[in-house]
Order: sequence, then C-alpha cells, then structure tokens
Amino acid sequence: MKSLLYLLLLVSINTVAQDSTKVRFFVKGGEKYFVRIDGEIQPQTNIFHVSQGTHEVEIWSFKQRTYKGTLETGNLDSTNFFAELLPSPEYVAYVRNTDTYKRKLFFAKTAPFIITGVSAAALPFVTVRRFNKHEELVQNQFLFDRQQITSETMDNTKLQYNVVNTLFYVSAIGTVVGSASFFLLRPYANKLMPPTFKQQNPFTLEYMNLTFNQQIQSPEFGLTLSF
Amino acid sequence: MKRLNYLILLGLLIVSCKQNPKACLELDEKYEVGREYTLTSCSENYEFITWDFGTDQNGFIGDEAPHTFQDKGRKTVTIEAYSRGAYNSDAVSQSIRVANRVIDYVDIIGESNFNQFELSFGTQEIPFLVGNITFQNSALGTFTEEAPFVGEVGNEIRLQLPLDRVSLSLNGKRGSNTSPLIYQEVKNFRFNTSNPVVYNGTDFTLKLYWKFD
Repeated sequence: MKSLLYLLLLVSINTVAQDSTKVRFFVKGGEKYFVRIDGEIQPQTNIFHVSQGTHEVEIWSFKQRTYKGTLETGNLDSTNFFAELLPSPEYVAYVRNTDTYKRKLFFAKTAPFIITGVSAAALPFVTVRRFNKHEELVQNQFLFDRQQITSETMDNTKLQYNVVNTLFYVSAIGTVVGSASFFLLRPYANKLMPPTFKQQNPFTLEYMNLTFNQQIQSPEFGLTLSF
Repeated sequence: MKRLNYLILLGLLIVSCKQNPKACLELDEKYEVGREYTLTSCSENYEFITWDFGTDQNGFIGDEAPHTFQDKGRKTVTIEAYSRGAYNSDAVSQSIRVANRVIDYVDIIGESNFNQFELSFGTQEIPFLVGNITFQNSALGTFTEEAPFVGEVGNEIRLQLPLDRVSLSLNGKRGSNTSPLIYQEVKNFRFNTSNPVVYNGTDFTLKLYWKFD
C-alpha cells in the first residue's frame, strides 16, 4: 500500500514536469515591458509558466520596437529567455528633433535672455568701477608725470583700468545685443514647436506620447487610454 | 515702443541734468618763500582737483592744497577740476609772485633824547638775517603815532623777515653811549603776517613795515 502511494506521487510529479516550463524573461532595453505569448497578453512579471513546446513571443516597451521571437522550451522544467529591445526609429527621430529643438530654443530665447540678464545686472557695477578706475588712472597719470609714483604703479593702474573698461564694453554690448536678439528672435522662438512622439501599445491599444515641456525644460509623458 | 521712447527721454534728461565741472582759482597775488600755505579753490561741480604749482615740485590732488613755495619768482598755478569718473574737466591758471618779505621801513614812537636810532635784526646764528642799521637822521625829539620817527631801510640792505626765530632790538645812541630801548626775541614770523608788526618797549614802540621783494 505504501509503495503504491509513492508510485502515484512520482507519476503525478512527472506528469506536471512534462506539461509546463517556467520561463524567466531577461529583457534588455525597456524599463516596463509588455509580453504577449502566442497572442495572449501576460501579467506584468518576468516569470511565466508555459506549456512545453514552441511559442511565439512578442515584447513591447514604450519607445522601443516590438520584439518578435520564438520560445523553445524543449523538455526543460525551467529556462531563461533573453531578448533585446531596440529603439523605434520614430523615437530616435524624436530624440534627434528634441536636441535640435532645444538647441534652437537656446539660441533663440535662452541665450539672449541670459546674455541680457547677466550683462544688464553687471553693467551698473562695472560702470561704477570703471568711473573709479578712470579717476584713479587720471590721478596716477598726474602724479606719474611729476615723478611722484613709480612706473610699476602706473602700469598696474593702466592694466586695471583696461580690464574694467573691457568689462564695461562687454556688458554694454551684451545688454544691447542680448536684448535686441531677444526681441528680434522672439517671433522665431515662438514659432518653434516642441517635437512629439506618440506610440500605440500594440497589445493594449493605449496611446502613449512624449513631448518636451518648454517651461520645465524636460520631457513630458502622456497616456491616452482606449476603452 | 512708446515705453522705450520714454526711457530714452528719461536717459537724455538725466544726462542733460549732469553739470560739468567749473574750475575757479582766486589766489593772492603774492606768496612768501618758505611759508606753508593751504591753497583753496572756488571750483564747483567737481569730484576732485589736481594742483600744479608751476614748479618742478610735486603736484597735489585734493580740494585744498598744502604747499610751500621754495623759490622766488613768478609762478603759474594751474588747477584742473574733474567730474565724476574724470571724463570731463575744466582747467584754470593763475599767475602769482613768490617773494621774500623784507623790512621796508620802521616807525619809532616815543620821547627820544638820542641822536640816532640803531635797529639790530638777527643774530650770528642765522647769518643770512644779520642786519644792523643806524638811522642817520636826528632822532632827538617827541615822536607820536601821527608823527613818528621814520627809519627808511634802503633797498640795497634787504633785511629779510625770517620764518624762524630771530632777535630784534632797537637802541638809542647818543655820542658813544648806546641804550637798549626795545629788545625782543621774535619767536616766529611764520604766523605773524600783519603789516606793520608792532613791538613795544618800556617807553618806545617800534612799527616794522615790510614788503615783498
């Protein structure tokens, strides 16, 4: 009786082992991916139980191309499935367009704004400093002409004035050029449209889209549910 | 655009309100060699002033210039008043005469029974100031404020008023006798610029008139 029980248990274990295979998915290239095996969408996990044999596997992740492959379990109780997702050409184009957009936006809006802001903020300080340094230069020239200060002191004063003078002109030109560029390029900057990337999940038919938020200077993710 | 026009107008207004410096100099005509002066200007709307004293000596930068003229002669003092930042300036010059003070003549007041007055000025310690003049005209009589004894000091004698210590004495002479009437050690002519300088003895008063030479 006891030996009969052992035999039944052994037979049942063998029957289960032969029916299904535990498959662990290793997917490279997507953070969150969807798996469809033989046309059936799978739960959000990376361990699946499939019947032994050959299966059609589809994997999709946002921004990636749909992976299509075949899973051969053979007679194994468990196996691993490796897949690498490749970026979709549309997403690659979106990334390239985003870079171009950001660069254009920087030159048309951000750079003139920064140049104007920094130059305008520095201008009062540099102007006051230039006034002081020019006074010092005139006074030291007067004293140098009467041999009351050394040539080293005079040279140093000239150098300091030249530095401040250069800063003054850079600030003044920066303010004018920056503000002029800002206003002149504003229509062009306003016309710049951020690129968008929209992709449909082929399994759930949801739409996911990615766009560039100009305010926060980072991509913005959107999801459109289909019922 | 309208706002920009207002800003430009405001800027022009500020610029036009800014006044240019005006240099002004009202110096005395004559200055004494060796005396320390503080020269002042009547300039307006300036940030600082440079002073050129017309000599090869140091210039000065400031509102008031302390200066001592070391040499005799005519000098041209030039000041230049600068605006804030020293981008605008205005200059003005004035010609002055730098000279020594020498004794011109003296008035002696008192009841005199002397034939001659003798004025000694300076000591051997200050050799360039040594002077001893005997006035040849008769010193006998009563000399009042209104009618003093006037002792002329010739131009050739040139008794220079020193800026440092010097002794001064007035003696009365009768025959071979000499009587001291006034003796005074003048501590400092530096601060004594009145003309005449008055010295009082017991019975005599000496008024020393000086001139620039």
